[in-house]
This record gives sequence, structure tokens and C-alpha cells, in this order.
Amino acid sequence: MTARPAPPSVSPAGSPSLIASTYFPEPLLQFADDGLHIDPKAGIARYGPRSWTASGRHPTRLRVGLIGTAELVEAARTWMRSRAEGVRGDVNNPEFPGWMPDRGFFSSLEFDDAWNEELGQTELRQVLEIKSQKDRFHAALTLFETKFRQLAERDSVPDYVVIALSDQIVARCGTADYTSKETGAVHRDLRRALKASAMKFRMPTQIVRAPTLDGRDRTPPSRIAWNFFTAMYCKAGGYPWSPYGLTPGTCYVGIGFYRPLGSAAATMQTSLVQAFDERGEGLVLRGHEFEWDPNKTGSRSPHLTADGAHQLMALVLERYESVMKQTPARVVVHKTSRYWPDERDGFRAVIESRVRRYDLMALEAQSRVRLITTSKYPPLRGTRFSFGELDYLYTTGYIPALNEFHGMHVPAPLQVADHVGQDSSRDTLLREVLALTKLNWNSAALGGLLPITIKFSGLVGEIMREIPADREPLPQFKFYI
Amino acid sequence: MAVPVAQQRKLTQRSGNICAFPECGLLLTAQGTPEDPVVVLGEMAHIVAESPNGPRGDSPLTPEERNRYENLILLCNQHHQLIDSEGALAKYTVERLHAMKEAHEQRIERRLGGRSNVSSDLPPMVNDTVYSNVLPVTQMPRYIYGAPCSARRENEVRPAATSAGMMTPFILREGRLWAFQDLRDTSNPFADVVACTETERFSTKEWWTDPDRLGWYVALLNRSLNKLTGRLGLRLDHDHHRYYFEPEAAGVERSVPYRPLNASRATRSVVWQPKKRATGEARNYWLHRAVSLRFFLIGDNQWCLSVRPELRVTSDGFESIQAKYIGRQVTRKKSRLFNHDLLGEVQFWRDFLGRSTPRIFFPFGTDRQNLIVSTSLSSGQVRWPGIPAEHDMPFKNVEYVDDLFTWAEAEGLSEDDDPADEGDEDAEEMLR
Ligand SMILES: [Zn+2]
Ligand SMILES: [Zn+2]
Repeated sequence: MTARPAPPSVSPAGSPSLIASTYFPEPLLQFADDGLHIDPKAGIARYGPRSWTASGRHPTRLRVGLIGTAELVEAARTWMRSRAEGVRGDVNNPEFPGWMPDRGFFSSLEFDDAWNEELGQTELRQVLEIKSQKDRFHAALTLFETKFRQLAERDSVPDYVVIALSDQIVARCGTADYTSKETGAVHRDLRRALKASAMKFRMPTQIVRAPTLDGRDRTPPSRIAWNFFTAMYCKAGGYPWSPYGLTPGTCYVGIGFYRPLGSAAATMQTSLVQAFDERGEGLVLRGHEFEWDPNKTGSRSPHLTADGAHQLMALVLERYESVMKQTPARVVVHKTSRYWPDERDGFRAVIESRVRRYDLMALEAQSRVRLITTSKYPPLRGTRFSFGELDYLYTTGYIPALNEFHGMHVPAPLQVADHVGQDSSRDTLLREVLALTKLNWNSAALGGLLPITIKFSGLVGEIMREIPADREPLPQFKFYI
Repeated sequence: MAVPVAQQRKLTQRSGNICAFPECGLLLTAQGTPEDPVVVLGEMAHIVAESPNGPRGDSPLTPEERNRYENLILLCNQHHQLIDSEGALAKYTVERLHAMKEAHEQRIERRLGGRSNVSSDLPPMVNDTVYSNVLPVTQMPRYIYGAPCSARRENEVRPAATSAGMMTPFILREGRLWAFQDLRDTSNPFADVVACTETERFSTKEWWTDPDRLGWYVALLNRSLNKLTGRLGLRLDHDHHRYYFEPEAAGVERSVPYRPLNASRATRSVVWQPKKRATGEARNYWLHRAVSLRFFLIGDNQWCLSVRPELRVTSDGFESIQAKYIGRQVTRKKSRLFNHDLLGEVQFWRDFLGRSTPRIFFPFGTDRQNLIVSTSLSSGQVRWPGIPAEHDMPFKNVEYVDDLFTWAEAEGLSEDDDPADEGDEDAEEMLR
């Protein structure tokens, strides 16, 4: 028997195409007095919220309105008053420093019965007794809308409204699934519907459930307080924190789609955009309706026509200019699917006529490709790697500065599925993506999987679909979270 | 326990011997007597109290840590009393005192003309090796053959086995049958349903650049995966497009031998009925090891195979049930798959699919038409702050070594293939 050489074409040693990895440090956030920290909680506790010293938008006092049964209105007020004093933490959960004139968010809460609307026993019973799920849902929505209207018509109105929901309302009216001849199968959610309804009266709202108020919710109390008051600060018009180091004059745009409510065809889609400036100020706009048939097009994710893309981008830039009072010097577009040639051309035509620099990026949340470390912990958040021509970024993972791992599953990186324009380096764009994952003011968490531009498109879409086509949705992001 | 002198010195130096309280500015040294020229007025206040019962004392810090520079702030007597007073504890929290101290020290540094160094508190960078769940394809078939086909449905086609072990994946598209075997050859496995003389041959690379044809190509690769996993005894779950183990007999758990990360041989459960830990009582569902496999192009003609380990849940070892109907137990089990478990799972699957050899082999008949996937885990270097070493898990990257059998397999099934023809495409065709 003669020894044969290893076949050259299948040599296992020179394992091809391997991963080149780089690491982006955790982006910094900016707080009061220009204080910098990577962590929202630590930054607020140390320096105070960003707009306390930075802009005229700090609410020095906040008039809180309450809606709920007499019992829950009282419980909500007591709960907020006590949490506003500050909440002690534990080893894993930092202390919540409070919402007081001299600490925490450096603001005060004001309550007044004139800003409350109680749900009476009789009117509540009349809703809960309704047999049909659909009718019950609508009756509950109408009841709350009456309360919003009554509040809005007062001489003195609250800045912010807390809606306390009893277990009964959540159980009986929380969702509705029905089919009708005109609309086919419909799923409704009370939370989304209430947001859309309160928007008519320009009321920022927060929904609280009874288990949070009576302690049945086992979430660590300081974490509940952090998330609740951070979102409240944002809904009151302030910036809890700002990103640090984003390119000034950049308009970050996220494109999303949702199925409109009340259209018979399952193939209808509506486009929506969210735009953010480098301070984190957000703008939400509804695009147009169009038909999308996955079977005819071979793609489940909708794509715009050249005209549709053109219209949508023109809308964003116009509104950005009128709201932000500046023309962007640079536009970065995020989407979760690739740019088809028509979409690309439509976007480009508008952007190139007004703005000097732009990049169109597709970011896909996938779990096909992962890095594996030889540790108990997964790769670090901020790890970028390329694999052949494919590019990935870990936005969840182990965080060395906190010595913690956020998320339960083995994290998976985002994939750059497409990139058109290339006026900025891939490094710059991915650093920005990482920074934009920290702009979720609805929570005090350090960062999320998706950048703010596309993170909420599902949620925003579900609120948008509750707003009839003939009513203009409000552009302020705070009404959607 | 007292504050060590080195820590004292660091604190007074960094704070410029000035009270750190905002806008106080009191210099903490004063002219003294000739015998004792300098009187120190400063007080080293504890941010977290020295004792757990003191101000802000409830903290995981150890007694030593409480007396270190990091936990001390230099204040005048008046401001020390203020921050420790009962009524002001909510206001002067640990975090705010840290911020106060930091801001003060930065002011002092600026006054001294020092440059601030924001990056100084970043953890040091280290080099680490990371792996991935992706296996590189080391050889792809060069050609795809298509010929008009009399069969209209795929189940009407019964490929004939021309040589032992050959795989015959195919697809029907636009009236033609597409396969990796040369359909011009009248003894090809599909000869009884295709028109051999009307065969078209395409270079596979040509297909990869056309989005429609790329889709066909991936379909052909998926058929190949079906063949491979079928031979290894796995079943296909069409709904989730993954492969899974089934029990060999009803009600019987199953395990298979494999080579794990840290031992030469072991067995792994692949079908089992979980038991309640407390009572040993069997739960009302079965778990099956499963895997999702996908070929994808990473550019520049380089293909990869991703291996995503999964779990399938059934009520009795056969009937699939959705996790939401069995509750959180299973969902938790699935979501508890941590990094190191993933590494173990990927190791299991690459070993199982490659039968403990250096490669996963898809024999399509001739040497250079074969599809070969390396079982070496793709790996790379990363420079990052790293994960503390106390979380390290044992890992040895098993490199499989060729033996005579696996060499022969990699060289092609037919011993007749002459290695001298390597690189000469026409010569290869003339051998037919
Ligand atoms: Zn003290
Ligand atoms: Zn002082």
C-alpha cells in the first residue's frame, strides 16, 4: 500500500474565508452639564437628564392626569408619589434616584383632581357585560375616548396622562379578534388603540396595569421605576439623554410598512418613516398605501416603486426641514430588506437633488450566522466581523463595562444585507447603528438589538393603522411610545 | 480599619486639597504653628459608609474597597456633615457623590493644565480567537446539466443508482430536469425520463450571478442536504425546514455516539422525554435534537454551510406540538441555550454530519462534480476588551485527521479518475 498525498482541493488545514473581527467601544451618551457616560441609568444618576441644562425643554414640573377606577386612580397616584422619592436597588439593579426638584430627574410631579377622569362602576359594568368581543372592545375604546375628550375640554389640562387598567379590563377588552365581510380577519390591541385615540387630543399617555401598582409584578422595583420615569420624561418633552458623536446635520431615516386596518385585500401595505436628528429628536410620518402581493413578487417584505420611494423621501425631507429648522447635510436610510432597483432610484433622485451625502443601508436581524466564544458568555456587543463579503454587527451581547450579558438567548448579530451610496465608511455607519440602538427613550436599558430608526416600526405601524386615512397622524415620536 | 496612606495621598492630590462640593472652593490647608506648619482641614468622607449601618452603607463593597480612593471624597467639615445628614441622604446618593468628585477632579486637572483623557478608563484590549457556526465549502460542483423531461412531477422521477453511494438530487423547472450528473451520458441516472441529446450544460458560477437561477441552485443544494441527512437517519420537518432525530421505536429514547469537545468519544441524547427533577416523573412532551442547515454565498464564489442547532418538541416522539401549548417549560429550555452550549451543539452536528472526518461529502459521481464541506469551524481573531477569564470554558478545536478511507472518499468514488487530468476540463469530458 502506498501513501497518497492529501488531495489539494480539500485540504482541511487552510480553512478559507475567515472572519475578520473588529470591536467598537460602547458609544457614549450625553447628559446634563455635558456629562458623558455609556449607561443611561448611571448618567442620569450622576449628571441629571440631558435637557435639564441643555435646552429649554426641561419640564420643571409635570401636571399628571389619571384615568381609571377611583381605586386605581388613588393607587396610581400613591405609587407615583412614592417612586418619585427614589427606589433602592440591589446588586443587579441600580438605585432609581427619583423625580424630585433636588435629585434624579430634577422635576416635580403635580396632581389635581381636576386632571383626573374616573371610570364609574355603572359605565364600566355596561362595557364588561357586553357579550360580543368586538363590541366590548369598541365600547371600552369609546368609554376611554369620552374621558380623553372631557379632560381635553377642561380649562386646565394635564401635560401627561396615566391610564390605569384593571385586570378585568385587560382580560375582557385587552384584545379583539374578529372577521368582517369588508375587512377580513382583524386583530386589535387596546394599548395601540388607546394611543391612537389619545393622539386626537394631543395627549401623551402611559398605560399602567394593576399588578405594577399593587406589587404583583415581580420585576425589580427600581427597574420598573427607571423605565417608567425615563419614558415619562421623554413624553413630557425632555431629552433624557442624547447620543454623543453622531455626525451633525445628519437625518437618520427608517423605512417600515404595515397593513392598514379595514382594507379587504390582505395585500395592501402602507409605508411609514421615522426620522431622527443627531440629538435623537424623532419624527413619525405616514406614507402612501399600495398593493403588495408576495406570490406575484416572490418577496414577503414589501418594496416601493420608484414613484413611491420618491414621494416618501420628499415627504421626509420636507417635514424634517420644517420641524428641525434645518436642511440635512447628510441622509442615512435604514430598512430591514434590500433596496430593489426602483426603490434605490426613487430615493436617490430626491436625495441627490437636495443633500450632498447619503447612504442607504439594509439591516437584517438574522440568526443564521453567529460567532461563538470559548467562554460562558457570548461575543461582546460592538463586535463587527466580516465573512467573505458579508458584514455583521453584534448589537446585543456581553458588555464588558457592566460585566453583564443582556438578553436571554445566545445573541445573533445584525447583517448588513445591502448598502447603496457609500458616502461614509462602513465603520462610521456601523458605529452610528450602534449609537442609535441606545436611543430608545421608552426604557432606561443600555441598548437594544435594532437602531431606533427601525426598532419601533412594527409598534408605530400598529398605532398608525388605528388612525383613519383622513386623519393626519401627529409627527412627534412621543405619542407612539 | 483605617484608610491606607497611599489612598489618602491619592485623594488629596487629585482633589487639589480643595473641598469637592460644588462652588465651595475651600482650601483645606491652613497656616499653623511653627511646630506644626500645616494644618489639614480636609475630611475624607466615605461615599459608601465604612460600616453597613452608616450613610449609604448598604452596598456590596467589601470593607477594603470602602476605604479605597475610589470610595472617598475630600470635603470640608461643613459639607461632610451635610452629605451625611439624615435628611439629605436621598439627595446625596452614591452616584451623585461620584459625579461630584469626578467633576471636581476634572476641574482641578484643567486648572493644572493637564489634558483630560476620556479613554483612560476603557478596559485593556486583548486578542481572542472566536469561532462560528459556519462551515466553509471547499468544493462546489462545476456544472449543472438540464434536459427536457417527460415527467411533470418530481415524484414521477425515479433516478437509477449508477454507482454505489452516489447522490442524485434534481429539480424540475420550466419543463427541464436539472441535476449535477451529466445528462448527455446515456447511462445517467435520469436517462429514462430525459432527452439526453438535448442536454444543456451551465457553469455553476454563471447561475450564481442570476437571482432566479441562484434560487434554483439553492433548491438543488437543499435536495442534496435532504439526501445527506436522510442517509444519516434524520427526518425532515417541512414546516420549519430543519432536520431532526426520531426514536427508533415508539416510547424509546435514543442517543448516538460522537466526538465531543473534550473527550475522544461520548454519546449524546438525541431523542428524550424530560423528567421532573423533583419526582423523576416523565413530562408530557418529548425533545428531539434538530438542525437547520443552509448553504449561502458569501461572495467571490465562496459558499458556506451554516449549522443552526434547534430542538423539536413532540407529544409522543412523533406528533409535533407547538411550544406555546406546552407552556414555559420548553420555551425556557430553548432560550437557555447559552454560548457554550451552542459551541457543544455545533461540535456535535459537524461531527455527526461529517462522520468524524475532515469533511461532509456529497458524492455526485465524478471527482470534480462532488460537493465538499470542510468540518473545520471557521474561526478568526478579534481584538477587544475581552470577557473575564473566570468565565472561560474548556475548548479544544478538534481537527479531524484524514485516514486512508476518507482520503479515498475525497478523491472521488471512482478509482478510475486520473489525478493527472486535474485542471483540464476537456480531458475530463473525453474520459466519459
Ligand atoms: Zn462620613
Ligand atoms: Zn465645602
